[in-house]
Amino acid sequence: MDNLILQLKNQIIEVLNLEDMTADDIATDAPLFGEGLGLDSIDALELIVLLEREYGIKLSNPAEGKQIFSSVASIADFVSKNRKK
Amino acid sequence: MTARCFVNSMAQVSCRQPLSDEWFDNPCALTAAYTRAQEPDTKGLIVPSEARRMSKILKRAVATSITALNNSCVEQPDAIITGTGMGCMENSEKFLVDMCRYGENCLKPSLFMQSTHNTISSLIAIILKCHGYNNTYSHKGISFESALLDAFVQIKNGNIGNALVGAHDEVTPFMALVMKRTHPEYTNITETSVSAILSSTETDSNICEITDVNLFHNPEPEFLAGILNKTDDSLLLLGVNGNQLNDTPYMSLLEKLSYSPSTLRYKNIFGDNFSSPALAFYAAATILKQQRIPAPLYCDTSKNYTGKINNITILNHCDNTAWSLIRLKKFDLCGS
Repeated sequence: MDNLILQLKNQIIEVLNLEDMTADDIATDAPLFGEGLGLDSIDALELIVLLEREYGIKLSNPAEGKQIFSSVASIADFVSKNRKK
Repeated sequence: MTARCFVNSMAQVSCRQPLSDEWFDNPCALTAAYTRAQEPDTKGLIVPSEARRMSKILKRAVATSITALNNSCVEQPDAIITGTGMGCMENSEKFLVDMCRYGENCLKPSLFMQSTHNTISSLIAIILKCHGYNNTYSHKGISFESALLDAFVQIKNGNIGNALVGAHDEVTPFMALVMKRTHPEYTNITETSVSAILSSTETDSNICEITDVNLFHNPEPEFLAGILNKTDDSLLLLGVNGNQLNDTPYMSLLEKLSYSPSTLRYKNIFGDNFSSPALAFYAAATILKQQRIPAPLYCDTSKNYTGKINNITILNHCDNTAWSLIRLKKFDLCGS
Protein backbone atom coordinates (compact mmCIF):
# COMPACT_ATOMS: atom_id res chain seq x y z
CA MET A 1 0.00 0.00 0.00
CA ASP A 2 2.86 2.41 0.78
CA ASN A 3 4.23 1.99 -2.74
CA LEU A 4 0.79 2.66 -4.25
CA ILE A 5 0.37 5.80 -2.11
CA LEU A 6 3.78 7.13 -3.21
CA GLN A 7 2.98 6.32 -6.84
CA LEU A 8 -0.38 8.09 -6.62
CA LYS A 9 1.19 11.18 -5.07
CA ASN A 10 3.75 11.41 -7.88
CA GLN A 11 1.05 10.87 -10.51
CA ILE A 12 -1.15 13.58 -8.97
CA ILE A 13 1.78 16.01 -8.98
CA GLU A 14 2.51 15.25 -12.63
CA VAL A 15 -1.08 15.23 -13.91
CA LEU A 16 -2.10 18.40 -12.08
CA ASN A 17 1.21 20.23 -12.73
CA LEU A 18 1.73 20.90 -9.04
CA GLU A 19 5.03 22.69 -9.66
CA ASP A 20 7.48 22.98 -6.78
CA MET A 21 5.76 20.12 -4.88
CA THR A 22 7.13 16.71 -3.96
CA ALA A 23 5.37 13.58 -2.70
CA ASP A 24 6.53 14.47 0.81
CA ASP A 25 4.53 17.72 0.65
CA ILE A 26 1.23 15.85 0.28
CA ALA A 27 -0.11 14.44 3.53
CA THR A 28 -1.67 11.03 2.91
CA ASP A 29 -4.81 11.72 4.96
CA ALA A 30 -5.17 15.45 4.23
CA PRO A 31 -8.18 16.62 2.17
CA LEU A 32 -7.40 17.21 -1.52
CA PHE A 33 -10.25 19.60 -2.28
CA GLY A 34 -11.16 22.88 -0.60
CA GLU A 35 -8.53 22.85 2.14
CA GLY A 36 -5.30 20.88 1.85
CA LEU A 37 -4.12 20.96 -1.76
CA GLY A 38 -7.05 23.21 -2.72
CA LEU A 39 -7.95 21.31 -5.87
CA ASP A 40 -11.04 22.23 -7.91
CA SER A 41 -13.65 20.53 -10.13
CA ILE A 42 -11.39 20.47 -13.19
CA ASP A 43 -8.74 18.69 -11.12
CA ALA A 44 -11.40 16.14 -10.16
CA LEU A 45 -11.96 15.43 -13.87
CA GLU A 46 -8.20 15.05 -14.35
CA LEU A 47 -8.09 12.53 -11.48
CA ILE A 48 -10.94 10.53 -13.03
CA VAL A 49 -8.93 10.34 -16.29
CA LEU A 50 -5.83 9.33 -14.28
CA LEU A 51 -7.65 6.38 -12.67
CA GLU A 52 -8.98 5.20 -16.02
CA ARG A 53 -5.67 5.46 -17.87
CA GLU A 54 -3.33 4.11 -15.23
CA TYR A 55 -5.50 1.61 -13.35
CA GLY A 56 -8.29 0.75 -15.79
CA ILE A 57 -10.92 2.03 -13.36
CA LYS A 58 -13.99 3.68 -14.86
CA LEU A 59 -16.07 5.55 -12.29
CA SER A 60 -19.63 4.46 -13.06
CA ASN A 61 -21.23 6.41 -10.21
CA PRO A 62 -20.07 10.05 -10.09
CA ALA A 63 -21.59 10.40 -6.62
CA GLU A 64 -18.87 8.10 -5.30
CA GLY A 65 -16.23 10.60 -6.43
CA LYS A 66 -16.55 12.88 -3.42
CA GLN A 67 -15.65 10.09 -1.02
CA ILE A 68 -13.03 8.45 -3.25
CA PHE A 69 -11.16 11.69 -3.91
CA SER A 70 -11.30 12.99 -0.35
CA SER A 71 -7.61 12.14 0.28
CA VAL A 72 -4.69 10.20 -1.20
CA ALA A 73 -5.39 7.45 1.35
CA SER A 74 -8.99 7.05 0.15
CA ILE A 75 -7.90 6.99 -3.51
CA ALA A 76 -5.27 4.35 -2.73
CA ASP A 77 -7.86 2.25 -0.89
CA PHE A 78 -10.29 2.49 -3.83
CA VAL A 79 -7.58 1.72 -6.40
CA SER A 80 -6.27 -1.30 -4.52
CA LYS A 81 -9.78 -2.81 -4.42
CA ASN A 82 -10.86 -1.98 -8.01
CA ARG A 83 -7.77 -1.78 -10.22
CA LYS A 84 -7.81 -3.75 -13.46
CA LYS A 85 -4.18 -3.14 -14.35
CA MET B 1 -13.50 58.77 -37.60
CA THR B 2 -12.43 61.62 -35.33
CA ALA B 3 -10.70 60.15 -32.27
CA ARG B 4 -6.96 59.48 -32.28
CA CYS B 5 -5.41 56.14 -31.50
CA PHE B 6 -2.24 56.03 -29.41
CA VAL B 7 0.02 53.20 -28.31
CA ASN B 8 0.30 53.70 -24.57
CA SER B 9 2.41 50.72 -23.54
CA MET B 10 3.81 47.48 -24.95
CA ALA B 11 5.45 44.27 -23.74
CA GLN B 12 7.06 41.41 -25.63
CA VAL B 13 8.19 37.82 -25.18
CA SER B 14 10.35 36.55 -28.03
CA CYS B 15 13.78 35.06 -28.61
CA ARG B 16 15.11 38.23 -26.95
CA GLN B 17 15.21 39.21 -23.25
CA PRO B 18 11.54 38.87 -22.22
CA LEU B 19 9.46 41.81 -20.97
CA SER B 20 12.37 44.12 -21.72
CA ASP B 21 13.71 46.53 -24.37
CA GLU B 22 17.24 45.22 -23.78
CA TRP B 23 17.46 43.95 -27.39
CA PHE B 24 17.44 47.57 -28.59
CA ASP B 25 20.93 48.17 -27.18
CA ASN B 26 22.23 44.75 -28.21
CA PRO B 27 20.38 43.72 -31.38
CA CYS B 28 22.46 40.74 -32.48
CA ALA B 29 21.24 38.84 -35.54
CA LEU B 30 19.69 35.39 -35.32
CA THR B 31 21.62 32.49 -36.84
CA ALA B 32 19.72 29.33 -35.80
CA ALA B 33 16.99 27.96 -38.06
CA TYR B 34 14.70 27.53 -35.04
CA THR B 35 14.84 29.46 -31.77
CA ARG B 36 12.31 29.21 -28.97
CA ALA B 37 11.16 32.18 -26.93
CA GLN B 38 12.89 33.10 -23.69
CA GLU B 39 10.36 32.39 -20.95
CA PRO B 40 9.38 35.34 -18.74
CA ASP B 41 9.53 35.26 -14.96
CA THR B 42 5.82 35.10 -14.12
CA LYS B 43 6.20 35.50 -10.36
CA GLY B 44 4.16 38.49 -9.33
CA LEU B 45 2.26 38.42 -12.63
CA ILE B 46 0.42 35.10 -12.45
CA VAL B 47 -0.89 33.38 -9.31
CA PRO B 48 0.94 29.99 -9.04
CA SER B 49 -2.31 28.07 -8.59
CA GLU B 50 -3.54 29.52 -11.92
CA ALA B 51 -0.18 29.16 -13.67
CA ARG B 52 0.01 25.41 -13.12
CA ARG B 53 -2.75 24.81 -15.67
CA MET B 54 -1.38 27.20 -18.30
CA SER B 55 0.71 26.15 -21.29
CA LYS B 56 3.72 28.21 -22.41
CA ILE B 57 1.77 30.41 -24.82
CA LEU B 58 -0.85 31.18 -22.18
CA LYS B 59 1.79 32.16 -19.60
CA ARG B 60 3.53 34.35 -22.16
CA ALA B 61 0.27 36.00 -23.25
CA VAL B 62 -0.84 36.70 -19.69
CA ALA B 63 2.64 37.96 -18.73
CA THR B 64 2.82 40.44 -21.64
CA SER B 65 -0.80 41.52 -21.12
CA ILE B 66 -0.41 42.18 -17.39
CA THR B 67 2.95 43.92 -17.91
CA ALA B 68 1.56 46.17 -20.67
CA LEU B 69 -1.48 46.94 -18.52
CA ASN B 70 0.63 47.68 -15.42
CA ASN B 71 2.77 50.12 -17.46
CA SER B 72 -0.22 51.88 -19.01
CA CYS B 73 -2.69 54.59 -18.12
CA VAL B 74 -5.52 52.03 -18.37
CA GLU B 75 -6.83 50.08 -15.37
CA GLN B 76 -9.38 47.90 -17.15
CA PRO B 77 -9.42 47.61 -20.96
CA ASP B 78 -12.67 48.25 -22.82
CA ALA B 79 -11.79 45.44 -25.23
CA ILE B 80 -9.41 42.51 -25.51
CA ILE B 81 -8.52 41.68 -29.12
CA THR B 82 -6.08 38.92 -29.98
CA GLY B 83 -4.39 37.68 -33.13
CA THR B 84 -2.92 34.20 -33.35
CA GLY B 85 -2.01 32.17 -36.40
CA MET B 86 -2.05 28.74 -34.80
CA GLY B 87 -3.46 29.26 -31.29
CA CYS B 88 -2.44 26.92 -28.47
CA MET B 89 -0.29 24.52 -30.51
CA GLU B 90 1.40 22.74 -27.61
CA ASN B 91 -1.92 21.78 -26.01
CA SER B 92 -3.44 20.90 -29.40
CA GLU B 93 -0.54 18.55 -30.11
CA LYS B 94 -0.83 16.87 -26.71
CA PHE B 95 -4.58 16.52 -27.12
CA LEU B 96 -4.25 14.89 -30.54
CA VAL B 97 -1.48 12.55 -29.34
CA ASP B 98 -3.70 11.54 -26.40
CA MET B 99 -6.60 10.95 -28.78
CA CYS B 100 -4.45 8.59 -30.86
CA ARG B 101 -3.16 6.81 -27.76
CA TYR B 102 -6.26 6.57 -25.58
CA GLY B 103 -9.19 7.06 -27.97
CA GLU B 104 -11.98 9.58 -27.49
CA ASN B 105 -13.22 8.37 -24.13
CA CYS B 106 -10.26 9.14 -21.92
CA LEU B 107 -9.05 12.66 -22.71
CA LYS B 108 -7.69 15.26 -20.32
CA PRO B 109 -10.21 18.10 -19.78
CA SER B 110 -7.57 20.84 -19.37
CA LEU B 111 -6.09 20.12 -22.80
CA PHE B 112 -9.57 20.07 -24.32
CA MET B 113 -10.47 23.44 -22.78
CA GLN B 114 -7.15 25.09 -23.55
CA SER B 115 -6.45 24.01 -27.10
CA THR B 116 -8.74 26.40 -28.97
CA HIS B 117 -7.56 29.59 -30.62
CA ASN B 118 -9.69 31.90 -28.48
CA THR B 119 -8.45 30.37 -25.22
CA ILE B 120 -5.85 33.17 -25.02
CA SER B 121 -8.22 36.11 -25.28
CA SER B 122 -10.80 34.56 -22.97
CA LEU B 123 -8.23 33.58 -20.32
CA ILE B 124 -6.90 37.15 -20.21
CA ALA B 125 -10.50 38.40 -19.84
CA ILE B 126 -11.15 35.96 -16.98
CA ILE B 127 -7.98 37.01 -15.14
CA LEU B 128 -8.70 40.73 -15.64
CA LYS B 129 -12.43 40.23 -14.94
CA CYS B 130 -13.03 42.14 -18.18
CA HIS B 131 -16.55 41.68 -19.54
CA GLY B 132 -16.06 43.96 -22.56
CA TYR B 133 -15.64 43.18 -26.26
CA ASN B 134 -13.51 40.07 -26.73
CA ASN B 135 -12.42 38.74 -30.08
CA THR B 136 -9.76 36.56 -31.67
CA TYR B 137 -8.48 36.76 -35.24
CA SER B 138 -6.80 33.72 -36.69
CA HIS B 139 -5.69 34.71 -40.19
CA LYS B 140 -2.27 33.10 -40.57
CA GLY B 141 0.38 35.80 -41.10
CA ILE B 142 -1.98 38.77 -40.81
CA SER B 143 -3.65 37.75 -37.55
CA PHE B 144 -2.04 40.59 -35.59
CA GLU B 145 -2.87 43.21 -38.20
CA SER B 146 -6.50 42.01 -38.25
CA ALA B 147 -6.75 42.42 -34.47
CA LEU B 148 -5.03 45.81 -34.67
CA LEU B 149 -7.40 46.98 -37.43
CA ASP B 150 -10.42 46.01 -35.32
CA ALA B 151 -9.12 47.97 -32.31
CA PHE B 152 -8.01 50.94 -34.48
CA VAL B 153 -11.40 51.32 -36.17
CA GLN B 154 -13.33 50.96 -32.92
CA ILE B 155 -11.16 53.53 -31.11
CA LYS B 156 -11.28 55.97 -34.05
CA ASN B 157 -15.08 55.64 -34.18
CA GLY B 158 -15.41 56.19 -30.45
CA ASN B 159 -16.96 52.78 -29.78
CA ILE B 160 -14.25 52.08 -27.20
CA GLY B 161 -11.73 54.30 -25.41
CA ASN B 162 -8.94 51.76 -25.18
CA ALA B 163 -8.06 48.16 -25.98
CA LEU B 164 -5.61 45.45 -25.07
CA VAL B 165 -4.35 44.11 -28.40
CA GLY B 166 -2.08 41.09 -28.55
CA ALA B 167 -0.48 38.65 -30.95
CA HIS B 168 0.69 35.27 -29.74
CA ASP B 169 2.14 32.25 -31.51
CA GLU B 170 4.13 29.33 -30.16
CA VAL B 171 6.09 26.98 -32.41
CA THR B 172 6.70 23.51 -30.99
CA PRO B 173 9.66 21.43 -32.26
CA PHE B 174 7.24 19.31 -34.30
CA MET B 175 5.56 22.36 -35.80
CA ALA B 176 8.99 23.82 -36.64
CA LEU B 177 9.75 20.65 -38.61
CA VAL B 178 6.47 20.96 -40.48
CA MET B 179 6.97 24.69 -41.13
CA LYS B 180 10.41 24.09 -42.64
CA ARG B 181 8.66 22.01 -45.30
CA THR B 182 5.50 24.05 -45.74
CA HIS B 183 7.13 27.50 -45.42
CA PRO B 184 10.66 27.23 -46.87
CA GLU B 185 10.68 31.03 -47.11
CA TYR B 186 11.04 31.29 -43.31
CA THR B 187 14.75 31.73 -42.55
CA ASN B 188 14.69 31.78 -38.73
CA ILE B 189 11.60 30.27 -37.12
CA THR B 190 10.80 31.80 -33.73
CA GLU B 191 7.92 32.48 -31.34
CA THR B 192 6.07 35.70 -30.50
CA SER B 193 3.98 37.16 -27.75
CA VAL B 194 3.32 40.89 -27.93
CA SER B 195 0.70 42.90 -26.04
CA ALA B 196 -0.11 46.57 -26.49
CA ILE B 197 -2.45 48.99 -24.80
CA LEU B 198 -4.08 51.30 -27.33
CA SER B 199 -5.93 54.35 -26.11
CA SER B 200 -7.63 57.47 -27.41
CA THR B 201 -6.34 59.45 -24.42
CA GLU B 202 -3.55 61.96 -24.97
CA THR B 203 -1.07 61.46 -22.17
CA ASP B 204 2.65 62.05 -21.92
CA SER B 205 3.20 58.32 -21.37
CA ASN B 206 2.07 57.52 -24.94
CA ILE B 207 4.73 55.85 -27.08
CA CYS B 208 3.43 56.77 -30.52
CA GLU B 209 0.27 57.25 -32.56
CA ILE B 210 -1.25 54.83 -35.05
CA THR B 211 -2.32 56.84 -38.08
CA ASP B 212 -3.21 54.07 -40.52
CA VAL B 213 -3.87 50.33 -40.62
CA ASN B 214 -4.65 48.67 -43.94
CA LEU B 215 -5.00 45.12 -45.20
CA PHE B 216 -4.84 44.22 -48.90
CA HIS B 217 -5.64 41.01 -50.71
CA ASN B 218 -3.46 40.24 -53.74
CA PRO B 219 -2.45 43.85 -54.43
CA GLU B 220 -0.33 44.69 -57.49
CA PRO B 221 3.07 46.24 -56.65
CA GLU B 222 1.99 49.34 -58.61
CA PHE B 223 -1.06 49.71 -56.36
CA LEU B 224 1.00 49.57 -53.14
CA ALA B 225 3.67 51.85 -54.64
CA GLY B 226 0.93 54.34 -55.54
CA ILE B 227 -0.15 54.47 -51.89
CA LEU B 228 3.42 54.98 -50.64
CA ASN B 229 4.27 57.55 -53.36
CA LYS B 230 1.34 59.72 -52.26
CA THR B 231 2.67 60.11 -48.71
CA ASP B 232 6.41 59.84 -49.38
CA ASP B 233 7.06 57.53 -46.39
CA SER B 234 10.79 57.98 -45.77
CA LEU B 235 11.24 55.07 -43.33
CA LEU B 236 9.89 51.67 -44.32
CA LEU B 237 10.09 48.71 -41.95
CA LEU B 238 9.81 45.60 -44.11
CA GLY B 239 9.26 41.90 -43.40
CA VAL B 240 12.35 40.89 -45.38
CA ASN B 241 14.32 37.91 -44.07
CA GLY B 242 17.09 37.29 -46.60
CA ASN B 243 15.19 34.51 -48.37
CA GLN B 244 14.47 35.24 -52.03
CA LEU B 245 11.06 33.57 -51.90
CA ASN B 246 10.02 35.99 -49.17
CA ASP B 247 11.93 39.11 -50.25
CA THR B 248 11.23 39.36 -53.99
CA PRO B 249 7.76 40.94 -53.57
CA TYR B 250 9.27 43.65 -51.35
CA MET B 251 12.00 44.35 -53.92
CA SER B 252 9.40 44.54 -56.73
CA LEU B 253 7.51 47.12 -54.69
CA LEU B 254 10.61 49.21 -53.90
CA GLU B 255 11.49 49.33 -57.63
CA LYS B 256 8.13 50.97 -58.32
CA LEU B 257 8.59 53.79 -55.81
CA SER B 258 9.20 57.29 -57.11
CA TYR B 259 11.49 58.09 -54.17
CA SER B 260 14.28 56.33 -52.29
CA PRO B 261 13.28 55.50 -48.70
CA SER B 262 15.50 54.16 -45.92
CA THR B 263 14.48 50.55 -45.48
CA LEU B 264 14.54 48.72 -42.16
CA ARG B 265 14.12 45.07 -41.22
CA TYR B 266 13.28 43.20 -38.02
CA LYS B 267 13.19 39.49 -38.85
CA ASN B 268 16.99 39.23 -38.62
CA ILE B 269 16.54 40.12 -34.92
CA PHE B 270 13.16 38.56 -34.07
CA GLY B 271 12.72 35.81 -36.67
CA ASP B 272 9.66 34.52 -38.46
CA ASN B 273 6.31 33.16 -37.32
CA PHE B 274 2.69 33.99 -37.98
CA SER B 275 2.67 36.69 -35.28
CA SER B 276 6.06 38.26 -36.11
CA PRO B 277 4.44 41.41 -37.64
CA ALA B 278 3.52 42.30 -34.05
CA LEU B 279 7.25 42.48 -33.32
CA ALA B 280 7.65 44.85 -36.27
CA PHE B 281 4.97 47.02 -34.66
CA TYR B 282 6.78 46.80 -31.31
CA ALA B 283 10.19 47.55 -32.90
CA ALA B 284 8.85 50.57 -34.82
CA ALA B 285 7.15 51.94 -31.69
CA THR B 286 10.41 51.51 -29.75
CA ILE B 287 12.38 53.34 -32.48
CA LEU B 288 9.92 56.25 -32.39
CA LYS B 289 10.18 56.39 -28.61
CA GLN B 290 13.99 56.13 -28.50
CA GLN B 291 14.51 58.34 -31.59
CA ARG B 292 17.34 56.19 -32.91
CA ILE B 293 17.72 53.15 -35.13
CA PRO B 294 20.07 50.28 -34.18
CA ALA B 295 22.48 49.60 -37.07
CA PRO B 296 21.48 45.92 -37.64
CA LEU B 297 17.94 47.04 -38.45
CA TYR B 298 19.04 48.81 -41.65
CA CYS B 299 18.60 46.77 -44.82
CA ASP B 300 21.19 48.97 -46.53
CA THR B 301 23.56 50.82 -44.20
CA SER B 302 24.52 53.18 -47.03
CA LYS B 303 21.04 54.66 -46.69
CA ASN B 304 21.12 55.46 -42.97
CA TYR B 305 18.39 57.83 -41.88
CA THR B 306 19.71 61.02 -40.35
CA GLY B 307 16.66 63.23 -39.77
CA LYS B 308 14.20 63.35 -36.88
CA ILE B 309 12.22 60.13 -36.81
CA ASN B 310 8.61 61.28 -37.12
CA ASN B 311 6.94 58.41 -39.01
CA ILE B 312 7.56 54.74 -39.72
CA THR B 313 5.54 52.71 -42.20
CA ILE B 314 5.44 48.94 -41.60
CA LEU B 315 4.89 46.67 -44.59
CA ASN B 316 4.46 42.91 -44.32
CA HIS B 317 3.13 40.23 -46.60
CA CYS B 318 2.04 36.65 -46.04
CA ASP B 319 2.57 34.34 -49.04
CA ASN B 320 2.56 37.50 -51.23
CA THR B 321 -1.22 37.28 -50.97
CA ALA B 322 -2.18 39.16 -47.81
CA TRP B 323 -0.37 42.48 -47.35
CA SER B 324 -0.54 44.83 -44.40
CA LEU B 325 0.43 48.47 -44.05
CA ILE B 326 0.66 50.17 -40.66
CA ARG B 327 1.70 53.78 -40.15
CA LEU B 328 3.06 54.93 -36.82
CA LYS B 329 3.79 58.52 -35.91
CA LYS B 330 6.00 59.97 -33.16
CA PHE B 331 3.88 61.15 -30.23
CA ASP B 332 4.13 64.76 -29.12
CA LEU B 333 1.84 65.94 -26.33
CA CYS B 334 -0.35 68.77 -27.62
CA GLY B 335 1.40 68.55 -30.98
CA SER B 336 0.54 66.77 -34.18
